[in-house]
Amino acid sequence: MSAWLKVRYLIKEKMTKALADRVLSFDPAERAEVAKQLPRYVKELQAAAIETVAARLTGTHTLADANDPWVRSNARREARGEALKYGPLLLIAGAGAIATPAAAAAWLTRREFHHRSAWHGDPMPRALPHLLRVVAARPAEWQAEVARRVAEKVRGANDTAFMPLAFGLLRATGAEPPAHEPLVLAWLDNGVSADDPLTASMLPRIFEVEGVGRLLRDEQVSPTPSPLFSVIGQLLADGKLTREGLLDGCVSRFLRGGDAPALRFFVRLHTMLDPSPEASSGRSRDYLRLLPAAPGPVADLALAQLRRTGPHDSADVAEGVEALAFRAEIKLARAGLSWLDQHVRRAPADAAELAPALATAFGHASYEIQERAAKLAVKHQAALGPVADVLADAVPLLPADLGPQVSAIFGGETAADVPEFAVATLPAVAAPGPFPAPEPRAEFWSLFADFWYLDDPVRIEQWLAAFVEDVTEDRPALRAALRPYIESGNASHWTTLRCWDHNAHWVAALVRETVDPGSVAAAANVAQAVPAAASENLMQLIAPAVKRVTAYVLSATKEEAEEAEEAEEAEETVAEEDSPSPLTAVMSLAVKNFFIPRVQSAEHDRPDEQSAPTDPRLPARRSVSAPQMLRLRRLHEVYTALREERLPPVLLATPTLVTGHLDPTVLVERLERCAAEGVEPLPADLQQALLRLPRGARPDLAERAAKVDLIAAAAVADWLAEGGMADPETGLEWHVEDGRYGPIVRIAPVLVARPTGHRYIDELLRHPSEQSTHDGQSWSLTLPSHREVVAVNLLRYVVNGHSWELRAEYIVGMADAEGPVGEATALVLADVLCGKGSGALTALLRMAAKGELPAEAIGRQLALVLRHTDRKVRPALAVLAEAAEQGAHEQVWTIMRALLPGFLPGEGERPNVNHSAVVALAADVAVRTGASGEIPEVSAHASRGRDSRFGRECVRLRDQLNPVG
Amino acid sequence: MPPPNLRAMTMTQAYTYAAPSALVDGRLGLATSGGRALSGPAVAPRFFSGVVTQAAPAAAALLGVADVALTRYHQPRPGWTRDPVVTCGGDRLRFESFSACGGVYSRLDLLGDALDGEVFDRGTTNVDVNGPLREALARVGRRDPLHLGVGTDALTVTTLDGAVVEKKVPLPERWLRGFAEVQVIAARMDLRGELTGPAAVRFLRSLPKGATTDLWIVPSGRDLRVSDVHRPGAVHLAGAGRLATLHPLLRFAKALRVYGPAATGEPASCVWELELPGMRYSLALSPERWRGFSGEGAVLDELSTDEAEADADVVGMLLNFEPEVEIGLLADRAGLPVARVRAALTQLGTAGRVGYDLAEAAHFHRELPYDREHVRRLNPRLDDARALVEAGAVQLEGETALVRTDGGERRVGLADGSCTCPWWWDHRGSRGPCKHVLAARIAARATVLEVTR
Repeated sequence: MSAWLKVRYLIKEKMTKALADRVLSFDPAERAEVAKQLPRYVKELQAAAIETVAARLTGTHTLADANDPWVRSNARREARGEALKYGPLLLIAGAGAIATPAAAAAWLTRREFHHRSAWHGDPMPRALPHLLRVVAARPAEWQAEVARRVAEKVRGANDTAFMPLAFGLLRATGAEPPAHEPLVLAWLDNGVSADDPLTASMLPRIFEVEGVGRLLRDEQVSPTPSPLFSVIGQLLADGKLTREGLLDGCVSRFLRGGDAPALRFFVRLHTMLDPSPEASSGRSRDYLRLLPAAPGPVADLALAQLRRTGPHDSADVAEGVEALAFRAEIKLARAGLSWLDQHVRRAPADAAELAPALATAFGHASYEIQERAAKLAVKHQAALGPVADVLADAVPLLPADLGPQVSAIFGGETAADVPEFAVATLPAVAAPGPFPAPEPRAEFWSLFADFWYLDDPVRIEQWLAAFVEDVTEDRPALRAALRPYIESGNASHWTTLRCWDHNAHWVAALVRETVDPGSVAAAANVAQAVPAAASENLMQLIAPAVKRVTAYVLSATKEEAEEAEEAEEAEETVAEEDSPSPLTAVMSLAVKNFFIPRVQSAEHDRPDEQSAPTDPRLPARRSVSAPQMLRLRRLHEVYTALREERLPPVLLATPTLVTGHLDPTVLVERLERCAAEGVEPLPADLQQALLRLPRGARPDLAERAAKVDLIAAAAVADWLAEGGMADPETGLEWHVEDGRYGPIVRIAPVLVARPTGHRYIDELLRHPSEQSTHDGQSWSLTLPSHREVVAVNLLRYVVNGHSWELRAEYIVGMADAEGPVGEATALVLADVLCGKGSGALTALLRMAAKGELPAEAIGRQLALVLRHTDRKVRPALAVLAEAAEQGAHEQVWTIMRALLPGFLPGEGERPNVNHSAVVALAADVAVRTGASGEIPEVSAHASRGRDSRFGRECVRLRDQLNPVG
Repeated sequence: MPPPNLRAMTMTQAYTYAAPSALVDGRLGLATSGGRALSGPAVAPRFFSGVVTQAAPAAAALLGVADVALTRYHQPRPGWTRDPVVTCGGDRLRFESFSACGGVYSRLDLLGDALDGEVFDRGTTNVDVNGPLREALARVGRRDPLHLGVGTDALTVTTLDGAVVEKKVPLPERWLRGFAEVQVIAARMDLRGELTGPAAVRFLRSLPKGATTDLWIVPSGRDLRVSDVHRPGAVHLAGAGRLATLHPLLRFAKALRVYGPAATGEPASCVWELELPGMRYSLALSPERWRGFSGEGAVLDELSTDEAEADADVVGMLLNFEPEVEIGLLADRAGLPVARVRAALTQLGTAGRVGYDLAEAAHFHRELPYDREHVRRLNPRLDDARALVEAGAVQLEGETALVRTDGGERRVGLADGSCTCPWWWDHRGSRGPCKHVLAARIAARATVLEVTR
């Protein structure tokens, strides 16, 4: 048997050891033959695999017949798997046969022979010894070259594909690992051991390779050293690594830079090595140069080393002290000043050299450092006398109470006593602009090539208004404008969907219906066949089963149980049966996604709601948000009216202002237009129009509306005469419970509306919405005159809800709406104050300018938010400071005043930097507004002294509020 | 021709240095790679040798430039480092780099005051930056003397073993295009705020630390304030963390200047410039963290004219690596009106052949030391527009034009550069004209030429 046939047989039979033995016995001719045959063989294997797969997947016999891209990609994946099956054997054969190192390395690193990542069934580890045995028989240079080339193919720490092979080769051949950075990461990630021959050459490289610090940032020395530190300790003990070498590595790593997490490992290593003062003094210049710009922990370490070595020459001390005094970290700046103090005491003659450092400290952001620097200046005034001008120049950087102490000795101008506030007036709120008109029309129609654009609440209003106007006025022109959508096949399948829960679905239907009347019905017949024709019978047949499972799912939560109660009279057939089983769980999914919409759609057919139109394509009421449901109802009625040719000439509800408001005069004009055409407006449209009217009665217009001969006109007249509906009862309840991982906070919204007799309005206000709108702007556009209702419905986003969904425009929309404000508005604002980059500031300023800001409630809610949730106070302070700057200082003071009692540390709590910041801002604003009136909590803290910044700020605030005390 | 998405989007740049850059005994030898000098293309040009009078700030700022080249600010991960570019313009040296994410551009201008030495040639090249060099630069203190040699310096090289350094890094098209485009964007900015010494330090330290914070910088009296909403005159700062390389330089800062375009309330680019003793360090940031400069389309208005291309050739020959290009002088020499010289400079900026210095409000000549053919063909939007014209998809109808595309017909307003495509609807010209507008303009120009002939 020829060598190749034998090898081929052994590969096919996966006889790894026998293959390696045979390969080791190759003579040059055999080697050449196998090397030539191997690539062909792989191709052969893969081609066969592709054929088999293609045949299985398509029932045809060759891949050429299976043109389906899915089949092809599957086939390729399986073909790759085929090579993988024989991977280790192919590698062994190649390693023994291929002549040049380059070709051999290329063969060994072919990715299709390796699993993407190591897994327990991977045959490679078992085959590796045989592979290495084969490699060991090749010439030494060949081995080293192959080992190097394979190692260079490793892509990084998580590239586990041929890491065992690469490291196996390096270890077996003893070749010097190539200078390839990802190799170091992979080696570290693979686990380091003291007896690994690679350790000696690889470990020193960890100081040079980017990414090592991040990879090792969780390694720790105490309480018990992690494996890497143990290995380093052992190697140090064995003398295989030197303390000097490692220290050099650490210091050079620090000098090369990086952020704190990237250097954490090296800081720990340095701490573990604990250099002797002699060792450190050799590097004292390096430590000195780390002081100004290295991350905090590194600068700390450098300072600690510098303290142990010394004495230092005066220039070094000056450099070090100045670097430290400039650091933003209080701890480091304080250390710098202590160093200065010690040095001047020891060598007063050097004081002149240190004066610039002291001047730098005058400008520090921390009062504590400034105070200390001022004290030092006074203390060492004799020594500093010759350089008085340096300090005098820096006096303006000191705060008003410290400046005079220094200027009395050294001269210089002190800062103004009270920081000057530029008194700003609140920016006037511009009158809301007109609602954007869908003009120019030709361009407007060509805009929405993609109907998904119309899920935007503003665009759909524009689109609907334009559509109704054009379809009644000039249908042929509209048809021409819309035809391209149909011709491009845009969304052709949507009209066959069961549930049209997006604006885009209805728009697609409207467009099709306009361009090609009747085409939607035909398209929808398939879907409609069941619900429309046979649904009655079918529903009756499956009703008991559906109800049982539905009720199970519905009762999964309390709220949904209520819903079930409300929806189903046949409830009593349910409860005592079926306990949950795995099957039920699966069923519940199906039921939730399919049956519930059906059942709830059927719900519309209940006798008491017979007047309401029903359409199986409308989603279940509570499966979409309430404003979206109202919008879908409007789309639905327009669609139905279009099919029945009873569309009014104009829609009533299209807003006239960007806020969503509708000018009542315009509404009456629209009614008159409908009456002139003799067409009754559509009900959902009418009810949305009512909701968009501004607050307040308009008897004049009510009278005018009453004269219009339409049923809708009477409703409008009533609404205008009465000044709209009564404001619903709104509010919220905080529920804080102890949970396993800390407090569980739930905000329960309260919304109770008196029935208006308008079905859709009542539906909208029945519960606070549980579904996200994904366009929170919808709320203010739907209810622009009932801000607190908007806020109650936004509550689901706040505190531990989906606050990232609470976007700026929702908040600004809420602020621009009209109507009473209450706790819900306050909580929404308090929550966004703590968020990032939201519209909090705009909303705050606009509401303040309109005199509508519930400032006290915001303060109260903010205290609750900060106390019970993980929201941060810093962003809120930034916004409040900015608002005060822009003229809302009175309102900000009211917020701060209400916030302080709940926010300040109580019994057994320690004040922290956030408390100081809040009191500082409160004091600033109190000064600006000239506020007075004691806050007992502040006075209590102020009476405990002014040792800390917190204490000082409390005193400052108390003194402002209560000058006598 | 392969479809656009399959076009090769990356080329590879090989840098070869005669020796690694090194700092030995106070002598900083920066090894140069192939570039372009006044005397012509050079393999390892030698530009400067002399003393840097402000050693510590120069070393720290050089590290800043190197750090930007090393960093990917958006979705950070380790990757390739492209070496900084150095331009010698006679009396000054400019070091430039561009972040791996394509959203941050940094430049160090070492001005005449900080340099005391001999200029051998003018031109642009890459300089090698390596780990040991970074380490040595970090060791430079205020009192240390620093001798700088840009290009082979016999003294420096002899101290090393003379090993040749070779690096190969990919240069993605969008990275290159952004590098070029940032100049054009900077040229449209004005000074929005300036702070001196301690105020600059306090302000920069007060900025939110979060890498992802987006905010507005509002001039307020003599101070700058941070706001989360746009106000008149405000500068947009996207990703405050991208200013990280300014912080180590604060201890030398004499002033901080902030530049931005006329604010519209939309996210926009900004430039932050630190005045250091004898030098300036500036950072340009893209309008959003995730936006590289490459897609900004700022260059496309001027680009679409053939005239600009021809003018650029003329103007390009007259630049001579001037540290400050004087447009009037250039117009005289080229015999072109000032407006056309400006357009030509923009065109040259896109090809990476000029940079823009905001402090001087002037262009400066430099040639990106990358394959020129590649840099020239960097505008896919323009390529697409030309393809539309060639395919006869543009139909001119007076003040408007109809452009037929696979996605339907687009109507272009020639006067205001508007279009009915969704892309234009989204960006409203904030990212330059769309391909349909470009195509219509090209077609309109061709017609004008037809008529005049």
